[in-house]
Amino acid sequence: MPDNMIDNVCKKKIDELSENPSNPGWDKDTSWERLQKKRKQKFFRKFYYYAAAILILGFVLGKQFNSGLLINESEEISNTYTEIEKRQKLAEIEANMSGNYTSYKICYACDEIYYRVIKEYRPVQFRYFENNLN
Amino acid sequence: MKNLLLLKSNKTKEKEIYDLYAEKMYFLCNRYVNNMMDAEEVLHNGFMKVFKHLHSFIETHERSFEFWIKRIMVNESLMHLRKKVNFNLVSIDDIKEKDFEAGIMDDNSSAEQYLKIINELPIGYKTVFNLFAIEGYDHSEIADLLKIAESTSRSQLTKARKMIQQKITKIESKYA
Repeated sequence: MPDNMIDNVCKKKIDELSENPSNPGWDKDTSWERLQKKRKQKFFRKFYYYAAAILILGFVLGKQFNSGLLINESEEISNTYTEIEKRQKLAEIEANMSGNYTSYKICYACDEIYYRVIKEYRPVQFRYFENNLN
Repeated sequence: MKNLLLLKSNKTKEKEIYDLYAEKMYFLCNRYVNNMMDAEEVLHNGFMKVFKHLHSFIETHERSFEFWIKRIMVNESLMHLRKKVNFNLVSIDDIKEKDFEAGIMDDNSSAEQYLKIINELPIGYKTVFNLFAIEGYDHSEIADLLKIAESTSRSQLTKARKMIQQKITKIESKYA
């Protein structure tokens, strides 16, 4: 039998079967139900995956936000300054921080001035003020 | 036209599409993977793809929708097979003769007998033969799909044909 004849006969026979296939042991409706179940599982798996990814991302960002990226709550002004200089610096800080600065206090025991800034205070600004102070 | 209507409200018509094509496609998948469980898994994955990309399908003519689904199912079957079989390593030496019980093979022989002959071919030969002779892919496409060289595809097809011929001759001589 020539090659193309084998191909043609086989194709004809398989096409014949494909038009009206008998699939013993397989039920279309049960298979449809299994498909629906599988789709639901896939959807929930995807949902949990995204939820977990968002949680992890939130956790990582939160960690960074609390530690490295932002400043400590209170910082110390060097006590090498005289009382007048300290007050001048304090006034400078107050003027420059424009809203970021919340409160300050003077420790009479060690003669140091502390200022407090709100959490959203940016590190770039902080470095600027720190350099100015020193 | 019927297919076009099915596409218009795809969400609600998924079941209709499934009812229309599931049996044919299951038969197709089963021809490739030759295992009921795997065939159903491939069928499900294929239909999930069909439903997902239904909106992107543009109907060009009546039979193209079936052709599109068929392509998806063939690709899914091949993806499934590629996980299990390295088509480059299938060799004629691996073939073991199986006891084959079929009738006399000629043009009047039943389609089931031909299906049985094809299904009993080694996986590599069967896949290449199915793709080339039944689905109508050419060797470059087959090479691309199976990640093999075109020459490998050609040689596997030749061997598959030879084997089919041998089986037919054997059965014919048995019943002569």
